[in-house]
Amino acid sequence: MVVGYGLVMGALALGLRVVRRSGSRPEREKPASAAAPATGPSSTRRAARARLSVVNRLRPGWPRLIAHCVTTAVGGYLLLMIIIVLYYFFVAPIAGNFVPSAFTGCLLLVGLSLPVFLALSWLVERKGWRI
Amino acid sequence: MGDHPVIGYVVWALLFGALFAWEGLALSHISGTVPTLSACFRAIMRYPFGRWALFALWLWFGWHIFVRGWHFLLRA
Repeated sequence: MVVGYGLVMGALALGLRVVRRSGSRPEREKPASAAAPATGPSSTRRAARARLSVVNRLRPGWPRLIAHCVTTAVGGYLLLMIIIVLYYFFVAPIAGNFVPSAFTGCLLLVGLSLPVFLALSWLVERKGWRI
Repeated sequence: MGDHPVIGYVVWALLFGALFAWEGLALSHISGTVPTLSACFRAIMRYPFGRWALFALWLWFGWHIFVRGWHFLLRA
């Protein structure tokens, strides 16, 4: 419960910070429209960061979607494993097979959910399924 | 109430109650400046680390619900 609470509150704090920062940004830094993108230092930085991303280098479509999903899943899995290991060794060494269960159980969930998500995405896009 | 003191349950109930009350306030448009939970999630998901954190949260929840303490029905 404590790990979950930490994750929920951390994510919410991050979101609030991002919302507040984007809300307090001066108007001149915001793009006027989608057709005329901003050319300020922040947009240049954002474009440079986007170029560095492996996912953004792929052509739009299925390769980019799959890379996006896989990087999110791997990143989230690794982040949770780091939190669980730190929690186990520095906060509370929970009895039983807590850490092995976290590694294998979460891997099982990722292995099940990712193909199902991609298959449903394919059915919605290509076969016109409505969920 | 199990082996834990009631105050522990009350604190959890208050925390979740506060979360839902805040979301209700945001959705009611009484205060135009309070972002909804989905607005927060959209903001978080703009960044890779935010997406990882949300996926980790989802994974942690699923692990607790579906994997931890779960046994095959036919296992003796």
